[in-house]
Amino acid sequence: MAALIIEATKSTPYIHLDDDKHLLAIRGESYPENAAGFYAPVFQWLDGYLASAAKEIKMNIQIIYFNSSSSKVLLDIFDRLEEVAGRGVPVTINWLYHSENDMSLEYGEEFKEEMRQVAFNLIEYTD
Amino acid sequence: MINDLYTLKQNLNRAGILYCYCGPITQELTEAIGNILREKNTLTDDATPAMAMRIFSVFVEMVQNISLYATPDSAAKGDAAKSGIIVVGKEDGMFFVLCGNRMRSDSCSRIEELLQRLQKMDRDALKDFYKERRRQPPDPESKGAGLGFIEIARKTNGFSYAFDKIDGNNTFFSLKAML
Repeated sequence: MAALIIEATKSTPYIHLDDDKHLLAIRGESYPENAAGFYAPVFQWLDGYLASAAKEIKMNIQIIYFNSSSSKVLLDIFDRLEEVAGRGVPVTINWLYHSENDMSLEYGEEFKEEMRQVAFNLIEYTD
Repeated sequence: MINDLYTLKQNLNRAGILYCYCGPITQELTEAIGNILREKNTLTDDATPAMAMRIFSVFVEMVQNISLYATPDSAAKGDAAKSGIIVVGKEDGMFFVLCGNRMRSDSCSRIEELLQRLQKMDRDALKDFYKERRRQPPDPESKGAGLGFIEIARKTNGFSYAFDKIDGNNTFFSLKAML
């Protein structure tokens, strides 16, 4: 299937979902007014991709700030990946946070607490 | 108005108000004010980057609540319908974010119940409540994820609120959160 690429805006992230490389990336800011609406194409793509995904899947999330409705969306995405991991597909989620972004680290830790099968890694980066 | 404007400015200064906006809430506005708040030297010049980020996140939750739930007055059309007031200031050494908007009176008791519940929770209880709510489908009355007030409570050191009746169907809701 075709890759899904969405360019970043001031309040929405860069998204690149590639089923060839089995690499999913979300980078930037996420505070759209209507998170469910913004991320709808992501869910649509994921539903298609995950239905037959058998190889290793890697997701890189590098979000500087996200609003509460984006938080729910992220959990929904992670839950879908958990389900796939439960079927035996190796899934890795890398949560990248800036060394000075305590908020992002804290949220990453909270998401990690919710994951059972997925390998959820908290990775610090500096400028 | 010209004579009153100086008085208004003096009152704003006295109340420690650094930034205030009264009008329609749009995504562009949210982005623009967000930029101002996050570049700490512009507005809250003695805020650490972490504090500037917290102020910004509370601000976003508040304005997005306004844009989802504010009810228009009879003259308002289109974007003007999603109007409210947002204030960022400093009082007794603590930053605060204050928001206000018109809302439906019949939603007040549900909101008040939630806010009272949140006021009684400590840090751990708020975290658990947040995680629990995030897993659930949103309340039918809720237009977002239903997590906005919980987020505000988590990021701040206490908040207060008021409901002021406007008329039979409408109430003015205000929320002040301390950081």
